[in-house]
This record gives sequence, C-alpha cells and structure tokens, in this order.
Amino acid sequence: MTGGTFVVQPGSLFPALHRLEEAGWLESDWQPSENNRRAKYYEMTRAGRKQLSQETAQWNRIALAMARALET
Amino acid sequence: MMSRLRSLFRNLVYRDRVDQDLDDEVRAVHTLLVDEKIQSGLSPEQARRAATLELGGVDSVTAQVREQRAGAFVEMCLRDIRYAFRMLRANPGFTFVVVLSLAAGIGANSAIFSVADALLFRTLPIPEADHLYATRYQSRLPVAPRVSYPFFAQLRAGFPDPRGLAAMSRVARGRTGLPSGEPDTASLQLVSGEFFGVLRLQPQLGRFLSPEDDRAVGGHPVAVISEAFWRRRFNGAADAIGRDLALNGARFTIIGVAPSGFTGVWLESPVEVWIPVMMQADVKYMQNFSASDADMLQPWVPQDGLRWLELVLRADRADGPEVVALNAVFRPILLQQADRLDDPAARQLTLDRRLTIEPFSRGSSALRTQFRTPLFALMAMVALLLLIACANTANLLLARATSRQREMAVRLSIGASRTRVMGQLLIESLLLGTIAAAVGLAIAPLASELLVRMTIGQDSGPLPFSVGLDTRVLIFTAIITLVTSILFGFAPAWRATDLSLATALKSSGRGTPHGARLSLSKILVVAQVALSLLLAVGAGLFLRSFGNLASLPLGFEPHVLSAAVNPSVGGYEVRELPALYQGVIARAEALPGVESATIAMCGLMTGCRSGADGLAITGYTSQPGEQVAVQENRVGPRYFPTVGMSMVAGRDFEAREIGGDAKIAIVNEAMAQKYFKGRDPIGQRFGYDQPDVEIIGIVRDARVNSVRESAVPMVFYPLDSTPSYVGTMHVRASGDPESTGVALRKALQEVEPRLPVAQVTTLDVLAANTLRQERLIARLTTVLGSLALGLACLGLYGLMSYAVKQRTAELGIRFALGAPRIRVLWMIFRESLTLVVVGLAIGLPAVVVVSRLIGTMLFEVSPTDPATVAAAMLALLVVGASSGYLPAWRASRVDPLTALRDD
Repeated sequence: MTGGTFVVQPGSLFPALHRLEEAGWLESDWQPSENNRRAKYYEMTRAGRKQLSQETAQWNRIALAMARALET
Repeated sequence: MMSRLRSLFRNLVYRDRVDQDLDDEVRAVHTLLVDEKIQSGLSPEQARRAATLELGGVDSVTAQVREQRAGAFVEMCLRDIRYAFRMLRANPGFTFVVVLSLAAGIGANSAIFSVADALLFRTLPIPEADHLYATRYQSRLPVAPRVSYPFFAQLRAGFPDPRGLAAMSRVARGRTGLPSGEPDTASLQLVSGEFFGVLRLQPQLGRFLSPEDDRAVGGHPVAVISEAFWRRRFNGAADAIGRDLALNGARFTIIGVAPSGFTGVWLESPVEVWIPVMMQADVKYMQNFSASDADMLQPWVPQDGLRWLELVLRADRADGPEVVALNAVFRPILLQQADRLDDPAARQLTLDRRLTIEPFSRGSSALRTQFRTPLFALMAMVALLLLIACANTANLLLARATSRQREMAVRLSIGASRTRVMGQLLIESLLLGTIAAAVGLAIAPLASELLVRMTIGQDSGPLPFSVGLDTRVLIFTAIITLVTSILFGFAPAWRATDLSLATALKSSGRGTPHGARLSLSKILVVAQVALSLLLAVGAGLFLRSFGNLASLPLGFEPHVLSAAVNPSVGGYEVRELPALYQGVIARAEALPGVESATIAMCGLMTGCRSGADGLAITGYTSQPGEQVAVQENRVGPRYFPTVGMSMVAGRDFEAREIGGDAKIAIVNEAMAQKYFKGRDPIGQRFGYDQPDVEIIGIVRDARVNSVRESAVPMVFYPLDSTPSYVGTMHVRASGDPESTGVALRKALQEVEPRLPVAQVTTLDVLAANTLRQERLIARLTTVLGSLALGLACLGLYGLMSYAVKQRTAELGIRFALGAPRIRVLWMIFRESLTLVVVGLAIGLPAVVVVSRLIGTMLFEVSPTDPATVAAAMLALLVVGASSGYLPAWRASRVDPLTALRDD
C-alpha cells in the first residue's frame, strides 16, 4: 500500500486498530479466512469514512502547502 | 464521544471477555502468519519462530493494546488497589498499627467536627435561613433582649410588613397527660401568630397559628405540635388534628403538625407544642422575664412592665429598612422615658439606646455560647493529634520503603516510570487512610454522642439535637482523609522511588544510602515530640484549672440535699402556697435523720438567678450611669443554718418573720463591701423606689450560682405573706444522703401528690454539675494528650529499633573490636534522648505562643504555668527515654558473630 515506505509493526497496528474501533470509526467482525481459519476483520464505519475524508483533506492541504513551501 | 463511553463501560464491566477476545484476535493473526510462512516453504518450527518475531510476541501485543484502550487508567488504579490490599495483608502488624493510630486521629476529628457542626455551624431547617434575624438592644449597659407584648405590638404596627415580625417566649416544660391518664410533660413555647410565617414554614398537617390567633387574652386555646410529639403521643395519626391536649391544666385543641425536623429555634430545647402568646396565663408560663412595676400573677400580655418576649424577623441585611422601622417606633418611646429622668447622664444613656438586629440563621443556643471556645480548642487539639498520627505513619512507611527498595529498584529498572510507581505507593497510602477513616467513622457517632451527653449532662433518652454522620461530616472526613493520606504518603513515596538503581540492586540493604531516610525520620520524630508537648501541656493546664475549681471553698455545706419542686406547674394557686410550704417543710423535718429543711425561690447551684437593678441605698451615691444591681433570693425558715451559710454579723430571720410582711433583708459580704464601704450595714436601708428595706444581718459569701462564679452582691428576703413560687427545697440530714433523698421524694409524694419533685441530689453533685464543661475538657484533653504521647513513643521506638537493625553489622564490628556493651547501650540511648530533647526544645517556644490562646478558659493557672510545663516536659522525657531504652538495650545484646555472619 505504501510501497514499503512505512512498515507498520504489529505492536503499533493492534493498539491503533483498537483505538479506532473505540472511537467508532471501525467495526470488527470474526469471519473465516481464506484458508478456513477464524480471523477478525475490520471495516470502516460511516463515521470512520467521514473522519478519513476530513483527515485526508486536512493532510492534503498540509502536504500541498509543504510541497509549495519546499519548491520555492 | 458516546462510542468511547460505551467502550469504557464495556472494557470495565466485561473485562475478561474483552481480554479473551483480544487474545483470540492476536493469536489468530499469529496462526495466519505461521500458515503463510509454512506455505512459503519454511518448516513449521521455523515458521512459528519467524511469526513470533514478526509479531513481537502475543502477550506483548495484547499488553500494548490494553494500555491504549479506554479505561486503562481506571483499570490501572483498580489493579493498584488490589495490589495495595495484598501488600497490606502481607504486613498485618504494620497495617494494624497504622490503621489504629490513623483511625484514632480521623475518628476524633470527625467526632469533634460533628459536634462543632451541630452547635456552631448548622443552620435552622427553614427556607432561606440566612435571612432570619433577631433583635437586640444596643446599649452601653448590658440589657436582656426581651420586650413586653405591648412594645412588640407597637413595633409590629410600625414594621414594613406587619406579618414580618414575630415574638416568642423561651421554652418551658409543661404538664400534660397521656390518653391513658398517666402524667407526662411536654416542652412548650408561646409564639405570636406571625411566628411560622416569619420562618416560612408550611405545616405537614392541619394549619399553623396565624395573626388571627392573637386577638384576645386567654381566648385562643389552640396548639401546633412537633412531628416528634405527634408520633410519640398520637402515633402519627392524621386525626390528631382537632384532638384535645391538656397543658398545665388548660385545654387546647391541636390545629397543626410542624414539618419534620423542625423543633424550634432553641438548639438544646426542642419544642413539642407551640401555643399563642395570648395563652400565657392559662399555661402559667413564668420564666425568663424581667419585671418592673408589674403584677406577675395577672396575664402578662397587656402589661408594659413585663419583658418576656424575644423578636425574630426577616431581613436582607443588618442595616436595612427593617432596623430603621424598628427604631422609628423605639425612638419616641426613648424620648418620653428620657424626659422623665433628671440625671443628664442617665438621660443620655437612655437616648443612646437603639434596637439592632443580628443574624439568627442558626437559632439560639446556650451551649454554643458556652462551648464555642472549648470546641475550637478541642478542634485544634484533635487536629494536632491527627498530625502526630500522620508523622507516625509517614515514619513507618519510610521504614518500609527502605525494606522495599529492591522491589522498587526492580520495578523502576524494568521500565516503570517514577510517577507510575509513586502513584501506586500513594494509592497504598490512600487505601490505608480510607480503611482508617472507615474505622474512625464507625467510632465517631458514638464518641460525639458521648461528648454531647457529657456536655449537657444527660445520660439517656433522645439527644436534643442530632450529631450523627450527615453529609457534611462525611465530606469533612473524606477531605481530611485525602489530605492526611497525601501528607503521610508523599514523602515516603518520593523517597522510596528516589534511589540509585545500581546500589539498590546490588546489595540487600546494607550499604544503601539510608542516611537521608534516617534524617527525615528523625525530623518526623522530633516534630511528634514537639506536637505532643503542646497537647501534654494543654492537658496539664486544663487538669490544674479543673483542680483549682474543684477545690474552691463553696461557702455552704456540700452534703445538704436539694430537691427541685415546681408548685406552679403543679397547679397551685398563690393562696395555697403558705400551707403547702409549711406542710412540706414539716413533713421533711419529720423524716429520720433530718436536722432541718427549708425552701427557697432559687436553689443553690441550680442556675436559677433573680436580680434587680436601679436600687437606691442609703448613704451610697452611685456613679452617673451606674446600675446599682444585686442578685436576690427569697428564702424560707432556717435557710442559713440548713444550707450551712454562717452569719457574720447581725441576726437571722426569726420564724415569725417568714411569711410576714416586715421589710427586712439579709445581705452578703460582697454587698456589704461594695455598697457600705467602711460603714456598718446593719440597720441601713435600701429599696427600689425609696429605701424601705432594713438590713438585719450579714451572711458569709458563697458561690451560689456556679463554682466558677465568685460571690456577687446579694440580698436575701424572707418569703412573705403572698409568697413567690419556690423552686427548691434544701434538707440537711445526717446519714446517707441517697437514702434520705429517696425517703424525701416518697414523703413529698405522699403529702403533696400534685407537687412535681425532680432532681433530688446533694449540693456537691449540683456544684460538680456546674463544672461539667471544665471536667469534660480536662478529661478529653488528658485522653488526647495520652494518645499523642503514646503515638510519639511508638514513633521513637520504631525509629530506634529500625536504626539498630540497620546497624547490626556495625555494632557487631564494634563488639568484635572490644567495645564495652554499656558504651554501645549509651551510644544508642543517647540518640533517642537527643531526639526527645530537641523535640522539647522546639516545642517549648510553641507552647508559650499557643497556650496563650486557651488562657481565657483557665482558672487561676497561667497559660505558661512553669510547674505544668515542667511536668509535661518531664513526662515526655521519661516516657520518650523509656521507649528509646529497649532498642538501645537490644543493641547492646547484639552477638558479634551472628551480626557479622548475617550478610
């Protein structure tokens, strides 16, 4: 997804997932995985999608501003 | 936000399930990873290793999630509390000592606070109590704040809101009858129709008295009863309204029940029945009045000269329009009065008088006035006790912190932050404090009830006011618990977590930097000694003061019996009195062992006090504005020989003069000295309008009112042919006063069944009762002082024992090198002595400063009485030294071999 720029350690991933779920931005569900093992699947909620788009917009604004600042 | 709260709830309540779920989740990922690795060609063993490496260990991941999720803090606290519980259970001795000493401190504070709250701080249970005010006279002379009914009516007419000013009498006990016909008493108060309106109360049943109940003297036989009386007497039946109630022989109809919890405005005299002021003569209310030019036996309401009512009103502030209105009525009356006076100074004094109002939100209380200073002194003393207990606990915690150094070092070195470990230690302190507070609160209500009972001298029966654990007491206790827990917990926690990890981990305690810890402990012990000295000196001063009072010569025979009689409540008419008096005296004197018996309007040491001012005395010129005042009593035959007051000059009343109308009096030495300086009072005259009473004798001074009060100028008149209602019978008897008392009560009951007789006891018991406050304070402070001393000793003992244990190895070396045991004993012993002496040296100046605050409560003892201070210091030195001796002795017994091997 990030082309290997970021490697998310499980130690950071799990707390992050749980915090996002507690904030109501993710939903989780136990489902059978491809090779028939049980696994927990996370899915974004509507609030999560809204939050993501807000955060994305915010990030894009900053990224753009930073890019411009560095170009000049 | 909602989602977070839901998570918090879920995490806390279904913690196990949430944890299980998390565990499953991470394990599932682990399994997936392993599968993945196997598919990519690794052996199952290798795959497992690789997966674990990549994931970082299932437990470590779940731990990280747990620390992040909602409620982690609460969960951490809960965990800490559980851990703290385990630690406390592991050291039962330590826990016991700490909880006990803190519980004593916290319990004492809660108990004293609940009494102080009830007496000093609590407001009346009425709406907007802050706006209730009572009137006072402002004058350069002490004047009772009582007014006559006609004066009240004038003030009321000129008041902005004619229903906003109410008058009330004091609380009296009245005779009533139970439905079964058995006699019973009820406390009653006469109030004007505005009373309940001014208090803004609503009846819980029926109606209250209204201004319509104030129209005709004797014409409103209606009564409002308190909830307690309603429950006691009518079992709370709704049909109590409209029923009859007999009060001192007059019939009343019950019209209403006061709201629950309201018992009038006198804290220690809860009222059960309120009746209109118009009914004064019907219930024969005759107390707390001042009279001039009045006939007490006629109804009081129309009489201008009988001042017996106190006024309450609503106002926003003490200088508002209400006061202006009151003085607008008062001023013309003063002008009239002043016009009649010739003496310009006296006229000015009259014109200077004013009516003022003062806040009445807490109602009246004689106990409040009397116990205000003692209660503040006690509050200060229990606060000191708590401080000592705190210092003690801090010291014990410090000692424990040292033995837990390794535990702390391990926790800090594996990554716990200092705040985290300190937080955990503080939670342990808080837990200790809370347990101690719980124990203290279990004792506090009993202690405060006992305190109130000792204060008012009532062994059983319901208390006049509640001192239980209400919200305010609980909040107070919670606050002091929190403050003390932090006070005693912080320094040890700071010290415990402040260690160089290396040293602590390396060694088992020896060679650790304990010097700093010891010096902090020493400071705490020194502080304890200094604080204990304050309490010990306080206790000593109160004991000496009480001793001085108790050994005062009273001026009368202490074994004489006294019985309170009440012919007025018994329903006797004035014309029946001479026969009644003759009969009871004759019957008492006929009892075996009785030498003589007499009666008096006011009994000795009973608090009954009648006085007069504005006396004219031949040959005495009063200073301008001086009130020539005396205390009076009216006495029956053989009064002076019976009570044991001896004549100094002149003669006693003769038998025929009692019940006669001769204008004669006997005065005491104080009167002779004050008004007849250098003259012989015998044969001189004095009187109210003109000097028409002849002095026939002088009697020795006696402490007639209370032990504390020395003799004031006093006049004794014989009971005359239209006698007053007497209040007391005094009987002089040989033999056991108790059995004579029982016989007396029985004999009086036989000869006069209608006459209420109460409180049959000896004069020394009554005298001792007047010292109730002093005795109570002396006892309480002795208990507090002993507790403080005990705690200080415990602190010193603990510190020295610990120090000896720490130095076992050093001592071993000393012995091995040939140090004599006695030298070592002295070396250790000297340390505790030094601590005590330093503590005393610091405490002494504090004593000089602080004890001055209780100076006014002491009787003939200087607050820095050298003997008392020296005795207290000696006591502390002896007790301190002996608690330091045992560790020193133990140090001198150290076996060098064991000591050196022990590491």
